[in-house]
Amino acid sequence: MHPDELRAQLEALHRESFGWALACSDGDAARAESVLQRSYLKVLESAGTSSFQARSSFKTWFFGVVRNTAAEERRRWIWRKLRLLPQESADAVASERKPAEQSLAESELREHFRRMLGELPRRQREVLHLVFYQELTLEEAAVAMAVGIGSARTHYERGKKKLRAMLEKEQVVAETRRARA
Amino acid sequence: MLRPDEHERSEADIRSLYQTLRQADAERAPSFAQSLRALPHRNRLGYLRAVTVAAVAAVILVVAGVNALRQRGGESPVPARPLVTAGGSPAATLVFGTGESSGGGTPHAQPAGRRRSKAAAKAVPSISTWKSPTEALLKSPADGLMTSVPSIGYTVSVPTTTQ
Repeated sequence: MHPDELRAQLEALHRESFGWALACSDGDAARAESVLQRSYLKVLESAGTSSFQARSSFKTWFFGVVRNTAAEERRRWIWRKLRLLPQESADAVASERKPAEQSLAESELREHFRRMLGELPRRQREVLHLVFYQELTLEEAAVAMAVGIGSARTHYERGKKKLRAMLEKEQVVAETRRARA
Repeated sequence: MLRPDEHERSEADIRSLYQTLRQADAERAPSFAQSLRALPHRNRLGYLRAVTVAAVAAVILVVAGVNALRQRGGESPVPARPLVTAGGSPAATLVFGTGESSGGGTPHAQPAGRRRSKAAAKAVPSISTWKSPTEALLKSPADGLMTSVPSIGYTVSVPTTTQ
């Protein structure tokens, strides 16, 4: 793929890629930016010898690169803790950029939902994100996660069941509070 | 177990929650240009530092290994020892030299360090010049008879005493 074409594709996917990097970085925005930047570097530096071979869509392939980079970033975090690598959080382009306007209730609901997602196992969280947030099919999600379709389906069903149970529990609690008030 | 309509409603709820996350994340994402601009400087600094640490560790290991090998190579070879008979007295001494006959000689002194290894190299025997210390025992008065072919009319004299 030509470097200019590659750059154009990456730019078109940028917002979705950031959302995926955020999901792979446990909601840490600074880490997500670092992961996304490293992924861009990997892909652009190997533009002539890119491993993208059109067996899957560009989006699922790049999401796989982002996922692997996030795993490397988690390992680098351990080295950073041992002081062998410099701290990079200060160089983040925009670590805590907040949306311009939002209601308090919406913001609380979002944070509450993020906390619920944080309680799910990683694979379940990833597949639910890819299907509901990124609107991929289960087959595409399996490619991005580098797992078989059977595994992806299992994680999807279990994750959805757990999430549903958490939402129902929250609904019951909310209704009980409303009834008391 | 959920009814189909309940199942659909819960999926719709989940989808709607994810879409609110998506909108919020899109608003706080950095621009593509910003992401590309920030990367190269930061990445290479960290990488260089890690490579430097690894290189220093490798050099230390190599120097330690070379020193260990040098010390091992400077050790002296086992010096010649006299063979001891049942009676306790030395019967013969093996001497590795440059073609001299056996039967005596003392083990030469062992110089230290590198000179020791050179002297040891010189003392390494040449198989072609080695002589058995018990070679004399194989000589007999009849050696002349054994090594010559008699002819008719020619008498070989055999000495009666050992020379």
